[in-house]
Parts: sequence; structure tokens; C-alpha cells
Amino acid sequence: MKKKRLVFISVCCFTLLFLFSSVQAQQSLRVSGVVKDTSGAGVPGVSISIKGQTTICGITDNKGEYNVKVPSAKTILVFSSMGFMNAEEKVGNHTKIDVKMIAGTSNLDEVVIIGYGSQKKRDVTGAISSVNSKQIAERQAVDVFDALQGQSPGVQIAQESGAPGSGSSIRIRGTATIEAGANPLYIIDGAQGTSMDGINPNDIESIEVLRDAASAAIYGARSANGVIIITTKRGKDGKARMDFRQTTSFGKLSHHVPQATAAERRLYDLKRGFFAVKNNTVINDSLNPGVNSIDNDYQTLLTRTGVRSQSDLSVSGGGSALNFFGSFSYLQDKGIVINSWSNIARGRFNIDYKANNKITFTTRIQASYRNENKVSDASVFAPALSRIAYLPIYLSDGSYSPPIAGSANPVADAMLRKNNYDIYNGSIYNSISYAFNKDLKFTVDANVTANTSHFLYFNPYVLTTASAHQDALSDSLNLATFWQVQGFFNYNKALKKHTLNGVLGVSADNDFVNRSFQTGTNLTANESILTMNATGVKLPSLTSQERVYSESFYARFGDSYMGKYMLNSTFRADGSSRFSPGHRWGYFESVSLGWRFSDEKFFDWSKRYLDDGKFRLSYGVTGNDKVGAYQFVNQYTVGSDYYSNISGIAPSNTLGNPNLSWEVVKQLNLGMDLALLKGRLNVAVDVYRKVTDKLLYHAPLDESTGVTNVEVNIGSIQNRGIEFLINGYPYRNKTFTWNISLNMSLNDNKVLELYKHTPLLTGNPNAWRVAEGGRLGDFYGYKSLGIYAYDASNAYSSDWQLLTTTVGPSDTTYSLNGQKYGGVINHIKTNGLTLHGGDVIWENINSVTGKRDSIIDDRNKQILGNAMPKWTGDLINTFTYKQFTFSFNFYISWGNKLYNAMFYNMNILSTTNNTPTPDFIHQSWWHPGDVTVYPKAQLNSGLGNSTNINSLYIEDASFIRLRNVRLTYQVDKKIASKIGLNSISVFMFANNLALWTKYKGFDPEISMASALTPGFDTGRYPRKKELGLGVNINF
Amino acid sequence: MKKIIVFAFFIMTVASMFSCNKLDQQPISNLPASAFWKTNEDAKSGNAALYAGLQNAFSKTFTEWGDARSDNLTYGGTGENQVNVSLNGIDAVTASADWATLYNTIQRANLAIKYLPNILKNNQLTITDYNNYMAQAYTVRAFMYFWAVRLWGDVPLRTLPYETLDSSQYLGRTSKDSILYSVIIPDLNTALSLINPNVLNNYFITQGAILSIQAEVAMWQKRYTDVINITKQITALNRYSLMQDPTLYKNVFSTGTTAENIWTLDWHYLTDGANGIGTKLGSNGNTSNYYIDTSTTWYHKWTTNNNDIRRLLSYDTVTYGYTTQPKQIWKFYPIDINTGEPVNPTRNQCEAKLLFYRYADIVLMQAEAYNATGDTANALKNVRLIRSRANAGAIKVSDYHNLASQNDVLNVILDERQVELFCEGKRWFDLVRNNSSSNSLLVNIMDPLIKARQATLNLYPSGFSDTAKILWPISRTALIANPSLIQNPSYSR
Repeated sequence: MKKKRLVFISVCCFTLLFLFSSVQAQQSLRVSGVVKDTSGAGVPGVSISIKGQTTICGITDNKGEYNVKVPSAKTILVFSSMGFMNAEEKVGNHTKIDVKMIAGTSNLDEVVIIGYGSQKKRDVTGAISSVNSKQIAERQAVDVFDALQGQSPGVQIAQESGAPGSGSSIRIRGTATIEAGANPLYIIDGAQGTSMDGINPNDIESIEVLRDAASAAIYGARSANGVIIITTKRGKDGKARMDFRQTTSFGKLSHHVPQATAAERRLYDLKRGFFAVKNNTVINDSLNPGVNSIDNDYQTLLTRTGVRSQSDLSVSGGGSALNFFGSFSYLQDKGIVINSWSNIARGRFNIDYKANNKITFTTRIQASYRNENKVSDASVFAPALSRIAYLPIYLSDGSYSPPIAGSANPVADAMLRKNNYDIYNGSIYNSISYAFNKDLKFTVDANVTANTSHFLYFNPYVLTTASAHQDALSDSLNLATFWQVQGFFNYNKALKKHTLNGVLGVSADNDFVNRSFQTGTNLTANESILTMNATGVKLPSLTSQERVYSESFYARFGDSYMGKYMLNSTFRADGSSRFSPGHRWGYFESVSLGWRFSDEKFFDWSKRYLDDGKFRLSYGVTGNDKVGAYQFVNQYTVGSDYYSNISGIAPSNTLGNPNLSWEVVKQLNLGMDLALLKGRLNVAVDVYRKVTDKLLYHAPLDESTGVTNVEVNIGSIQNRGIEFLINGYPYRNKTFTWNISLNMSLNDNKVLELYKHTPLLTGNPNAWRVAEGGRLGDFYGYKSLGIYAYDASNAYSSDWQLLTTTVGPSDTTYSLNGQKYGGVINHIKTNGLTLHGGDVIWENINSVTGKRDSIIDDRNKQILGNAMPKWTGDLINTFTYKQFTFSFNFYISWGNKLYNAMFYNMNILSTTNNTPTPDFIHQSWWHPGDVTVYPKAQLNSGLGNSTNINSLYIEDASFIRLRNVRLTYQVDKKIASKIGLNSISVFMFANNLALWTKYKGFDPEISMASALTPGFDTGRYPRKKELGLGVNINF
Repeated sequence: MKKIIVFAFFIMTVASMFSCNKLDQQPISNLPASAFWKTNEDAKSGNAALYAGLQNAFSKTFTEWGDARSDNLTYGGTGENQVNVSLNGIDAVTASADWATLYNTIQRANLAIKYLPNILKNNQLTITDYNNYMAQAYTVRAFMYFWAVRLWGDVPLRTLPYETLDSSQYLGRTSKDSILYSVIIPDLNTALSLINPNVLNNYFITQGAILSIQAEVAMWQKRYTDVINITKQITALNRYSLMQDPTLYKNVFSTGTTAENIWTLDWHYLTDGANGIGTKLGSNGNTSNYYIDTSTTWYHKWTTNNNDIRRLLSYDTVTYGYTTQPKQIWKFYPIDINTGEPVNPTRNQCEAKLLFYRYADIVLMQAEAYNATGDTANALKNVRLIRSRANAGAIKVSDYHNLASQNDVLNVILDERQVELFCEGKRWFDLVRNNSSSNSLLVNIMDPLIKARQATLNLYPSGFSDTAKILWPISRTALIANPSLIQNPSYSR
């Protein structure tokens, strides 16, 4: 054993020495062959290197064939490719070597993209996870977020709503900020500022998620929320290759929430004493017999079978000097809510040109166009759920019914109101690299992005309640441009024992936006023309501009000593125009260490099980500057304070804060990577502690200042967590493999310090309390204990404990803890009013004194639960049998609560036309003695029965979702080639097939919004259940 | 050599992108504070912003602060907010409980008072203009504090602009008397000494406007002799008179520029947005937030007095189908020449002018002061001036115990004020001002009304017995933004 290792090391050293000493000493030995997978198909893009050497000497072509030069017969060739185990072959006297590669993931020689360079997985010292194109193809991903979902531990992704074209929110390792932007930094092909929207997930070669600070710190000021690096595909050497892909899927509303029928509405009207209905039976409305036949099911009326279809075409190829990749895709998505749709066209062209040994030129061009109509959640779905079921949708002549008694017609609203978006996006990235010699390279690159979004809003006259024209047309046009220029040196040097790498660079970027907005009313030409010229009354148009500029300097140094001990260190300085001169520059540094303990002699005993084992330790500082552009200076607003035809100039509602500065995140990460049982099992574990200091917060100011708010750096929060990634092959042989990938993340946050140690009540309504020692997402409100059954039930002992009231035919008796109570009877009050039968019994413990109270007021609020999941996990199973691949994946989110504001809003009875939930109608107090869950059906009027936040609407939102299921059949190569194709595969898939949860709303997975206001479900555009088919053709 | 050229080219490309001054970005579409308050144009713009501040403060609140809690109005429509206001169920989340817009206007006034002297120093402003601008800033500040102390009692006091984040961020409440004596009265005196007496445009603050506020402040403090003196000064200006002709009388409300108007807040929906009073009182939408309370005797007396020209000018007397309540209060809208009736605007195009002061108000204030000082003859004389202009006929003395006591005369005056100044933001304060432990005027009027409204809505009849609730609650947003504030008694949420 020992001897073998010595031989190995000496071979490596020898090879290295040999390489450095002279190149011409090489003999021209040629080896060729085919690399195949277990199904016998050729594997393209396998990189071939000589063992012990860092450079790649060849790549397989489309058919998996290769042809490389090797220095000697003693050479060992290493074949590596994403998703496969490395294969090693000794050259010996063979000139043709065919290789069979087995699926696996222990691929230490895979290249991982890191900031301003790349690294072998072997040498990585931070917490970085990678997703490759194969994994993306397993999903029927619509966008990058979809592709990334569930693929990496510590990454939480939630779609904002189920609407076509809606965005997603993404959080890496919890939320490290409270109000500054919480989205990670995206680097696309080395540049910032490119639109994520414009990226077709099928164009992606790999996605890297930099989770820990040490990996992210090279991006300094913007990397506090982690960094996501996306690398798009480049053409591969060899014959041109064309790929065509078509998918079509059908979706429907995943489930309906209960809604009151017409009969239930009449029961409600009876309960609240609105109709004089005789004999307590509510079947028909004697006043309006015309509506007796109507009983709308709004969820059915508003939804349909959605159809999504996506076509992709890509062409790639290249030779020794030029490689290209071009793609075009078109996505048509008809949403499950009527009249909601989104069409996206995306194009890309990637060129890599190697002019000579020294100069390389790279171009990335990306363009996209998106056209969509959004159906507003706020004006359609939420109002529909509380609309009276017997109100008509159509009039007798077939036209839409206008709003009746203040209730809009949701179907008319969805069909006639326009929320049209046209978004054009383009970006061009160019880079030139000049290699001074084998080790030192200099790169200059520039990226320019332009984004134009045009929004047309039209509210037709029939949707308004006015008897004269009150329609509205507005047209807004935003132009955003971004440029970034970078220049950096890369130094890579392999010495005898050390492998060094270094980066030194500068960058500058500029963000500019020009907004313009016009609006008018009283449309002429019968509302047939929807451009501004047709408005009879034009309101003043507005334009505004904003510019942010920043400059950076950065450096990295890395050293790997015999692949056993690794050190990486970065430094970055960032200057941002968002801060005043004295607070402008931020400095960010990191250091990380790696130790491959499996290479230590004293670990030799484990060789039987352990292929590879590595510890990683890192510490880094990153920053966040995502606040408004000019928050450091006091401003006056021009053009919005007219009086008597004079344009007034008034102070801005935001106070300038010249001391404003970066939010700083310090993160410590300890990780371990294990490869076991010859690649059958891979484990990665990371533990981290992340402390955010100088939190940026838009703090409300005392209203008497006359200024609304100010941006401040207020305190600190901590996120701690553990992440696991386990990937294994419970079974694998030549025809059948079963792969399980499990990732799990636990994250816990704690508020360490706040501005002046004062708790914050956040959101509107103030549903959350952020206090030192507490957690973000703590719901704060009143605890409902039930409903007073009788007026006499509002009875409390002398120390304000709730008495049990027994109302008899002649007398009322009280008891406390089972004992008869004969003392003083106290009555509880709120807002100066005594509570009676039918009012809510609120828990009367005073949070300040800890004692029981005589008045229900703010001091009776308490923490009612937390909106942050305790842990989340993904379980992906993939089975491959001959040409079949079957995979399914579960997503689990556990231990969080949601505020069901959709139901709450229905049940506050804020207007008489609002219909509450069926549950409320049946379970609300009606007659003295009723023991119910909900209060008397009446308007609130200061009694606080509909107080927000009410514990009744805090629901357990833990869930398990069967997110994707997919079955693929790869048609036999021979058959494919008979019809002139390289390969063809067909697949079936299903998304969101099943959901297990106790949550009563549409879906427990909601947009993550701000860390100050998480878990508030107002009833967004619901998610769909989707079934689809697709085909992949390569020729 | 080639290497060096290539390298130099790269370096230059990158270096050209960098320059230190690019990091100094200033707002493009807003004005940095250092660039404002320099010229006479700035003074004019800063002055207009004071009035824009008044528009913000009153657009949605004027009706709720001045009329909706009184017996003038009751809830209309289906919303919770107006029910809460009409049923004395207001709490910390009621929109109109928020004083933010008042303080925002005070901040504008404080900035003007601080920075106008700089413009004068730079010789960019004549002394007359400077004095006139200063007078308006002082008046606006006093006017805002006067509303604040009447609505919330003790309130935070700031007489300097808030421009840097400092330790005085959380301010406690100053007693209302202290604010009256140390800010409101002195500010008005200063303003009166500075105002340009030749300015007559009553969309802006004039001598008459300042005197009118002084009169109302004196009324609030029950300094009746001062009221008589100040109102006599207003008459002595020789500018104001009662509009006798019905058409001219209509203009008092629709344009607000007649000789009867003393101070009117101008409104143009294109630049100022719609005046929220349209949503509250009358628009061509199918419901207004508030209706006239038709269950009251005052309304019954008014609506049966067919000769009273104020009836038709104030509200649409035609009632529709299922309701007997007049729905639209169209007092502030001009008459359409085709129909001869006022036209209700769409909600988002309402440009009703807000009448802060007009001569009829002064005449009736004077009447109340005369009566309080025992001069019932002069008091009744003033009331008759108003009644005869409105063609309302003689005072029905039998309704007032044949005017046996001073209190009976007071009731005559208050009833006249209710009809004459209907929905002009006066009635609630008339009730509050005259409510005392010996004469629980407000409680006697409102308690039975609210109990009846509660019964209609199937609510427990708690009425209006708690006089602590005369004051408004402090809003939830104000309480959260300033932890040192304590809620007004009786309000607990």
C-alpha cells in the first residue's frame, strides 16, 4: 500500500518535472478511442488529461470519440465528465483505448467556476454547489430559478405567484439582511447586470452557487446574499450539432379553496340581521327573486386549462480557432387564470475565437422579448372570493354586468382590464484575453445591457362605478442601461509541490434608469384606441432619472500544496456613489483553508471505504449596498406639489443620512466533503455562522418630524445553519442505476442588536415584531381564545382570570378552575367599550408586566409563531434502466407558520358586500349561548373583533410537495441514425402533482418578500398542477 | 515591444473608465437641499408647497375631522371606516387619526421660516415679499397646530425643521395650552405684523385670514371680548360682505373668490389630484361615504323650510328608489347652466374648494361671543342677518323656550351655524367647544343618535357617554414610529 503511494507520488512528481523541464522532449504518441456510457452511447465533452497534470489535452466529440497526444507509454489518461466517475487508463502499448464511464459524482477534477477564474473541485475550499446542464434538462425548467430549485442545499426559491411570467425570490442561507435587497448577485459569463429573464435554461452549461463568504468575497460589496454564477454553453470542437426540443404541457388549478354559496350568503345575511327572513330558513331571497337561480363558483369561472409550450433550437460547433453556440427559443404560456398569458422569445449567440496562442476573443450576445398580460391578484382573485355568489356575471343581453353595490365583476375585470407588459432586453459582452506566457494572462471585458419595459394599463369604463367616464389609461416606459468594464490578471503556476493561482483586477460599473409615465382619463373613440392621444383628459406626465456608479479593486491568492493543503485568500475594495464621500469605500477580505485528510498517511486505514475526504474552513466579509440611489442627502421634490397653478417645491419624505454606509456580513464556514465506496456515496456537510452588522433599514421617523423615514444602519442579526448534501447509488450495474440525491438545510436566525435596542413593529398591518433575542418573521398579535357565549360570559375574577360562566334559567353562576366562584365579577373592556356575547375572548396577559389585564390593548399582543421554516429539504430519485430514465423529486419545507390574510380579509366584514368564508358563516356566533370559533357577524366598530393579527389565522404551513416527475425514453442510436438523427428522446413530465399540507389557503409556498414581512399570504395567483410531453432531437 | 503595446492598450482602456468624480452622484430629478432656498423663485415655490401641504392634510380628512363625527352626517355606503367614524368606533387604525400630513405641512413652514432669511440676505427678495412669505409660513404653522390641539389635545411640538437624524427623534407631547399660548397666538401676531395688507387673493393667506384664525382661536379659548374685537377688525377691513344674490351666494362655495370668502383653499385636480371630499360627500359614483343624518330634528326643520335657499344649494333633495336619504351633498360644486343644478364630479376629478373662512362664519362667531358676554340683542341681530340672506324666515322662538335664557340664544346660534356652515368643518368643533360639565351639549346630542345607529346595525348600544373620546386617538403608525407617545385615554388599540 505504502509502496504504491510512493510510486504514485513519484510518478506525479516525475511527470510534473518532466513537463516543466522541456516540451520538445515529448514523443508524439497518439491514442484514440471512444468514450461510452453504460447504455453504450458515446459521451461527448469528456475532458481527457494526463494524470498529475493540470492541463487538459483533449475533449471527446459529439460521438464520444477522441484523439490525443501522450508523452509516453507510461502515461495514465484521466477521463472526466460531469455526472460520471473519473476513469483512468494506462496507455501502455495501446493506440486505441475505448473507455466505459459509469455514472457518478465523485468528480474531483471537474472544473468549478469561481469569481474571475476557475478551480478544480479538488482545490475548492469554500461552500460551492454546482448544477450542470444534465441536471437542468431533467427539469422542464422555464427559467433559471426553476432550473436551480432543489438542486443545492442552503438555497431556497419561491415563485412569486403562479402567474405566467412571474418572477421568483431566492435566498441563500436564510435572509442576512432585513430591508436592503436580499437577492444574490448574479454573474453571467463573467459579467454582472445581464438580465436573468433573458436566459434560456437550456443554454446553461453550469450554475455555481457560492454560499459562503470566502467564495463570494471576491465580489465584495454586493455579495452578502451569496453569488450565483451562470455559464452558458459554448460550441464544442467537431462537427456542427443541432438540437431541437419541444415541450407542451397542460395545467389546471391545483385545488379550490372553500367559498360561500348563494345559500350560505343568505344564511350570513340572516345571521347579521340584514334580511327579514321568516322562519329562520334561508333558501330564497324574496326581495330579489331574479338572483335566486344564480350561484356562481368563481374559482371555476376564473380558471381554465393552461397550456404552455416551449420550442428550442440550438446550433453549435467549432474547430481549433473558432467555436460558436447559437440558440433561439420561444415560450408560450397561457395561464390557468383566464386572459393571463406570457410569451417569451430568447436568442443567444456565443463565440469563442482563438486568434493565436496568445489572444482569445469571446463574445456573448443575448436578447429577449417578453409580452404578457397580468391578471391582477388584488383586483380579481381576492375580490372574487368574497363576492356574493348570487350576483350576476352577465346581464340578460350577454354583456358583462357592471359593478353591483360596490362589488366588481371579477370575470369582466380579468377579461377587460389590461395590464400589458412589453419587455425588451439585450446585452453584449466582449472580452479579450492576452496570454503573456503559459502562466500569466490579462483579460479586459465589457458588458453593456439595455432593458426597455413598456407597461400599458387600461381600466375600461364598464369596470368603474361612476355614472360618467372614470376610465383610465396609463402608459409607462422605463429604460434601464448598465455597463461594466473589468480588467484583470490571472496567474496560474504549477510548481513541484505548490500550485499557485492569483487574480488582480479592477472593475467599474454604471447603472442608469430613465422612467416616464403618462396617464389620462375620459377616453374618446369609444375606448377603441389605447394610446395616450385618445385620452380626453391628460394628467401631468412624469419622467425621472437615477444613476448609480461604482468602482472596485480586487485580488486573490491561492496555493495548493500537493493537493493536500489548500489556502485561498481574497481582498476587495468597493466604492459606491450610494454613500457620502466619507462612507463610500468598503473593504472586504476572506481567507479559507482546505485539508485533504484522506491523503494523510495516518488515514491510510480508511482507503477501503474512503476515496477522498476534505475539511474546509473559511471566514470572509461581504457587503450589501442595495439601498436607494441618493439616500445620503436631503432632497426637495420638484413637480408634485402644485398650488393654484404654481409648481411648489417641497421637502422629500425621506431624510438624508450622510452617515449611511455598507451593510457588512461576516461569515464563518466549516465544511467536509467525503467520497465513499468508489464513488457510490458522496457527502458534503457545511456548518455556518453568518452575522450581519450595520443592517440597512428604512426606519420610520417620529411623525412629528414631518419626514416619513430615513435609511439607517441599525444593528445586527445572526443566521446559523447546517447543510447536508448526500448523493449516492444504492444500486448500479450495467443496465440499471438508481441514484438518490438528498439535500437538507437547517437555518436559524436571531436578532442580536437593534437601533437604540428598540423593537421594530414591521409591515402593514404591523404583523411582525423584530426584537433583540427574537427571530425574524415572528408574528405578533392577539391570541383568540374563543367567543363569549353570553353577555355574562365576560366575567373575570379579581385578578382578571377568565371565569367559567353557567347561565341557568333563573341565575348565572361562575366558577374558577372547577371551584365555585363567589367573589367580585370584573368585565373586560377594549377601546373604552365593554365586551359582550359574540365578541372575541382575547388572551389578556400583559406582555410588559406579565400579569392579567382589565383592558385589551397593544400590551396584550404576543408572539404567535414564526414564518421561517426550521428546515427544508429536497429528495431527488433517478432510475435508469437501459434507455429509460425515471426521476421524481420531493420538496419539503417544515416548521413554519403562515398568516392566512386571504381568509382574514374575507372574515373582517369590512363592507357588507364582503362574503366571509363558509367556515365563518357556519361557525359565527348568532344567539346567546352559541359556542363558536368566530365572532358575531357584524361590522367591527371599535370592538376589535376583527383585529389584525389574529392567532386564528396563523396556520401551520409545513408541506411536502411532489414537485417533478419525469420519464424519458432514449430511442436506440441505431434506429435514430436510420432516420438521419444522432439521437432522439421523448419524455413525459408532471409538475406539482401532489401536495401534503395542513394549510387551508391555495398554497403554503409563497413569495419570500422582505425578511421583515415574511409569510403573509394575501391569496396570490394560485399554482397549477401540470402535465406535459416533450421531445429532444439532436442531428 | 508588441506585448508592451497590447498591455498599454488594455490598461488605458480600463483606466479611462475610472475617474474619482464619478463616485460623486447627486440626485438627477430631485433637488439636493443645498441647491434650494436661493432665489425669489425658490421662495415662491416653497410658499406654494405650504398650500400643497394643506391640500394633503385636508383632502381625505376634512369631513371626518369637522363634520362626520357630529349630527350632521351618518355613514353611507358599505365601508367599515365610515361606520366606525359615525358610531364613535374610531381607533388607532382609523385613517383620519393619522396626523402625519399636518406635521409634514408644519415641517414645510418651519423650513420656510428658517431659510427665507437667507434669500433676503442674498438680496434676492424684496423686504415686502419676504415679510409676506414669512407671514404665510407663520400662519400655516399656527393653523396646523390649532387643528392638532383641537383634534388630539396635547401634541408634540416642533418649531424648528427636522433636517438631521438627531437625538430629538422621539418627542413627547406638549400641553395644548402651552402650544396655544407659546406658538399659535404669537405666530399669528407675528404673521399679522408682517402680512402685506394689499394682497387680496383669497386663495392665499391675507390679513383677513389671519384675523379669522385669531377669532376662532379666541372662540376656542372662550375669550369672547377678544372675539368681538377681532371680528370688528375684520369688518373694518371693508372687504367682506354677505352675498345676497342666490347666484353669487352659490359662487361662495363653488369658486370661493367672492367678497364673502376670506380664505379658500384652491383645488385643480389635474395638478393637485382629486379633492377627497368628493368621495366623502358627493360624487357621481353610486355611493358617498357619508349621508345627511335624516333622522335628526335639525334636518327635518331644514328640509321642510322650502324657502331656505341653502337647501337646494347644499344637497340633492331628490331621493332615489330604495332609500329616503339624500345621497349627494353638492354644496361645493358649480351649477350646470343646462340643468340649473350643481353637477357632481367623478371622484377622481373632484376639485371642490375648501372654505376655511368666510364672512358668514365671522358674523355668527361674533353672535356667539355677544351672547356669551350677555349681549343677546346683538347676537340675535347677527343671526337674523344670516337668516334673511338665506330667506329662511324668522327665528321660530317657540322652538327655543321663547329665548328665555342665554342658553336658548346659544342654541339658536348653533343651529344657524349648523345649517349655514354645513360641511364646512365647523359643526364638530361647535359641539366640542360648547360641551362642558354643566352643559353636556355634545353628549346629549350624540349619545341617542349613536345608540340608534348601533341598534340598526345589530350592535351593542354603547352610545357616546365617554367624553374622553371627544379627542381623536393617536394613529398606530405614529405610536410605532415614536415609542415614547402614549395613546389618548379610552382608546386601547
